Amino acid sequence: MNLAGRLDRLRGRPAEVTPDTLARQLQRLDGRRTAKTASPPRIDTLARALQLQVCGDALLLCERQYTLPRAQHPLDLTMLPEVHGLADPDWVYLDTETTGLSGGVGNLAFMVGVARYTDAQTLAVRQYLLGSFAAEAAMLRDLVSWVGRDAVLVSYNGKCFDLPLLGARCAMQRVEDGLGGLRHLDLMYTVRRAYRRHWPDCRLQTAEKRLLDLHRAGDLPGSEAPAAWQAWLRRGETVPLGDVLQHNFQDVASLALLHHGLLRDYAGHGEAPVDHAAIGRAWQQAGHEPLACKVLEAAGVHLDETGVLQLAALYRRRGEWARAEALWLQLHAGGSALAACELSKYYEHRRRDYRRAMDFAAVCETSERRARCGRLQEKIGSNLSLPLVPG
Amino acid sequence: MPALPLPADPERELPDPVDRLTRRLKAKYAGRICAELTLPARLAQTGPLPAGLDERLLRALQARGIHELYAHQAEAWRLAGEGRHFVVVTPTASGKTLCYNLPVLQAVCNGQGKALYLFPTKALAQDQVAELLELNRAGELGVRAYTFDGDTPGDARKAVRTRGDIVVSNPDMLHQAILPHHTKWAQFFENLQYVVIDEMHSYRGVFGAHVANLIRRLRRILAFYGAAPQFVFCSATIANPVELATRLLGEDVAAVTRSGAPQGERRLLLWNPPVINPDLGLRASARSQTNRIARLATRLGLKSIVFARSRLMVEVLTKYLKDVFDRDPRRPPRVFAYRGGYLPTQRRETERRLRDGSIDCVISTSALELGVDIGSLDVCVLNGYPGSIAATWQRLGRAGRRNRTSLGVLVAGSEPLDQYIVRNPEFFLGASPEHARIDPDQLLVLLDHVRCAAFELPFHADERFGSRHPLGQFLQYLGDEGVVHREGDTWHWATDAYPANAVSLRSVAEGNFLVVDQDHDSRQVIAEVDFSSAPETLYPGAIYMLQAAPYQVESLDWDGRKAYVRPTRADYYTDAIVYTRLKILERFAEQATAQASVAHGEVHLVRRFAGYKKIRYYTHENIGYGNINLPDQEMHTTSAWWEIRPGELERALPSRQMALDGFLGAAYAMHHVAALQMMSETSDLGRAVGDGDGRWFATQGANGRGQMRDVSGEEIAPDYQGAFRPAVFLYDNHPGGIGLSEPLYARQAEVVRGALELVERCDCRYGCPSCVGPVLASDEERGYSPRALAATVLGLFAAGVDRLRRSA
Repeated sequence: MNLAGRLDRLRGRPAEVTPDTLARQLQRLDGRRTAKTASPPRIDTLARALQLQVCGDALLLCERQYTLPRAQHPLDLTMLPEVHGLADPDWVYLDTETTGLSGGVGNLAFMVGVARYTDAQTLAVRQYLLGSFAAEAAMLRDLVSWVGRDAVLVSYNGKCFDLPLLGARCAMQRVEDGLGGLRHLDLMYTVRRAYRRHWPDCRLQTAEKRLLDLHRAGDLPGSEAPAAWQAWLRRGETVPLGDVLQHNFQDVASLALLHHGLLRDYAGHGEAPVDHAAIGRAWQQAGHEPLACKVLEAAGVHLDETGVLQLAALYRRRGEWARAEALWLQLHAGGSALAACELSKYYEHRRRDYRRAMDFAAVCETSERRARCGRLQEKIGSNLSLPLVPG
Repeated sequence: MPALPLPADPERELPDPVDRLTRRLKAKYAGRICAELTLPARLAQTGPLPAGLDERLLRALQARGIHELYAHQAEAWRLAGEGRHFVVVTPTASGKTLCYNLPVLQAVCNGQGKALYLFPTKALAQDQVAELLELNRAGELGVRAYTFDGDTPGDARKAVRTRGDIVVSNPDMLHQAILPHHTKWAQFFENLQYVVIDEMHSYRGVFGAHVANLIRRLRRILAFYGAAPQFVFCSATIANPVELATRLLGEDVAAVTRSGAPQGERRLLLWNPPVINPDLGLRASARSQTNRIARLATRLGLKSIVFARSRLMVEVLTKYLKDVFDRDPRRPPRVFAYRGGYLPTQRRETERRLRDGSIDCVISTSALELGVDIGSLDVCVLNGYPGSIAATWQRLGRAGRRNRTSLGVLVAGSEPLDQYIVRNPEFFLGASPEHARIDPDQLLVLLDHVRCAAFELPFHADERFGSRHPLGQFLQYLGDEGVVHREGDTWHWATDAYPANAVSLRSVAEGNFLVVDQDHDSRQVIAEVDFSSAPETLYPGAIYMLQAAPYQVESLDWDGRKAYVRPTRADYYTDAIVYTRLKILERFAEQATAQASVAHGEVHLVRRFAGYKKIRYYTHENIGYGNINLPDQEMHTTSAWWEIRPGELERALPSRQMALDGFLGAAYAMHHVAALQMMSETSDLGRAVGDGDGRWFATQGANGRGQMRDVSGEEIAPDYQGAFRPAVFLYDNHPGGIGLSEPLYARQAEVVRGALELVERCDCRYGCPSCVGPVLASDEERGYSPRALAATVLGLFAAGVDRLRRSA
């Protein structure tokens, strides 16, 4: 019995004895000659079917333009906390389609879409497609050189998925990884921060629907991309790859649209339900307090306790004590213990009104209250003879 | 051998409690002690620290009180310097680790390279890093040694990869996390100078075949990064360390085998439980004797370790000892159980308590046989022969690590091997340890690793992968499945999968079962059970024991690999009844004589879990049965089998009932002798009696007699069946086989002859657990002796191969 038959039996599979296996067995004996005639001529078929340029042995290329639908160019694309302050960045949008979704060096990107602005409203989109494994090194080299050394990459989940994968493939193909060191805006983090608490999930398609009102029709789900490439490799099917090409084009265009679409909520102009407190915090961490303030103020009644406290803290830092106190009092009226603590500190250190400070301290969290109340008790005792200075 | 004088030791002047225990045991139980052996203390053989040692390293050694090297350490240093691969084989606690730590640290200090250490388990890896860090601190070497295992947090992994000089890991991690992501390790691999593989003896059987293939994969990746490091293996004593290392590596390996380390005096008692029913040859259980010895040792204030052969026995012994020593819940417990299946945190905690001396008695399976540092123990009791000479010495070595007198007691069980050994102590004491076998080219294991390797790097059509099989056929096979795709001369990974996840190194079948305690609101995982033992231990109704606390299995989610249990207060434990039938698929080879024939080949095996017995604690009476509703477990594997020609059979054994009894008895004896010959655990081999077509099989019924059962497990009358061709099968108990049946066939004459001797020379009258298996009191009325029948069957098996001996 041949090896294949034994393996089938050991693994509990019925061994097929059909004319087909016999033919393959013969092929096996003379494997090298038959295999050589197997694939190369099909590249042209694929190129024709999808209207792609052939570039090198089996690397296919698609260059198209994409025009952003509305006049969005007055917007400053650096107005996101991650990229705030960059001078005239060379944005490059990037998305890959891979042979597997589970990670590890065995998966490769059989399609890469990249795009950069040619003017404020137009994107040049460049898509690579591998017609065979042999074309991968050429693709990676061309990709690295097209992206260049000064680009700022924009992706969706590229930090955890696309970039490590491309880095691994560069190492496997011994191509210098020029992408790993670039600045990188991963919009998934930007989206998650703002909408995690309001959306059921933060997939790219969800963001498209909710922020851009974009509903893809007849789009191939990204998870089916691996099967499309396998269908080409094994059976020479070109139609599924055409769908992937369209899907990838749409993904890259969506990145640009999303980039624009996020600016409104991050500037405090949006109407969508959004986590203002998180955005405010991000702006504050990025060193842009006025914007943090603006976003939080714009939220108005939608701001939750954390958000109001944050805004009050910003006022306090700027010395706008009255506005801070007003916010704390408003929260305190709603029963916020944290606000009571802030008020207690404010009355103790700023207003030196220890009795009021004491009243607020009584509502503080337990451990803090004990320390604070003890200290205030002492201060009240020692200052009884002094006139209390109203602030 | 003359005893060497012991080095002066102030403690020797005091009455030695180990001495007291030994004296008391000998005075009280002289009749049970079959043999006594004293291994005299051994003096150290040393040499100077090697010239050329890095100065910081020299300081580190001196700070740790090391001013010279043992002979084996010096030899290892020399071989490392010559750039050779080598294997170090010396006893427990002989300073083996310095054999590799020294050259590795030298290389790291000189900035010449990095090292990868592999230990079979996480626990051993963590021990090792602790030791390295101590040397590191002592000499301010600045060497960065990290463990990399399932417990390494995600954010620390990058630092380990990029900054680690020595990375300490285990085969499973290399297989699932490192090699499939090797580009992240590029920098580490490029500079790799040493690969250290410790506890090599544990890489045998299936695990060994997997590890050999894992090393093939590792070297393939290393070649991609232009690295060709030296491999250093360390092993406990086995007969063929060089052969095993060579098979694991696929290249020649030098050996360091003479230990220069000193050793304290060791005493060993071989203990046979007293006969309690001379007619049946029944002896008191090993369990009762072990319990007694461990109790006495603990009362004398000695620290002891008890090794049991099954997880169940660990739990039973723990319960009995806890009933004595841990009755008061307000006091910290003194008795602990340790075995596979406990969660890592529980095990670490027990190890810590062992090291700080707060445990008086630990009961363990082979899990503690390896070099986990458990400090110094005085007494080691083996409840039953561990199955191999190597494992016996390895376990006995856990007591008396630090130049102190120690006592080991081997308590024989009623199994034939145990009895053989205590009755022939010279065999045991004089025998060389067994051979460790692996078959790196086991088809299913090889297929798994070719798949994983294809994921890691495309295969060139001419690549060999160290295998004797032409790889082209494997790749073609995987290509037909759509796993790889051929392009020119190269095979590329071509599917959406992460193959390492589907391959477990510890078994051929995959998927561990989780044991979930659903008594708490938050369901808690309390243990893991490997796939092959799950059907025998986790059927609904089974009592599952954990630290001697009984849990009852309420439901089993077979596909989800989970068993849901609840704590219970049963006064019994459960034991599964398993029926096995076999069908011969292909004969690889056959020898025949006028009387009998023996063959080996591929078989299809079906195991049916017919039910279970409930057995009461202490009295061990059978108090009921339950049903098991589990799918039959099927397996393709290899087997050797023995048959008698039909005419001869009828002439020698007039009734079919007698033939069944004879075959069952012969199978029992042959199974045990074969396990001894093959250095496998008895559980690596399975035995069955039936015909070769899977139409019927034989079991021993409740009345002690052989029964014939049909495909559905129903009992059938032997005399009303058609053709009757019983066979004894000894099969490889792993899917696909791990290469046991071919050598078994090659040595079949020794197996049959050994079994015949065992049966003929036994002291019992009709048969007993030590020769043909338990025989009931009523067997006297059978009118014939099962033992004589087994001898007849074995005689026929042996007739052709050994005609001279029969005629003598």
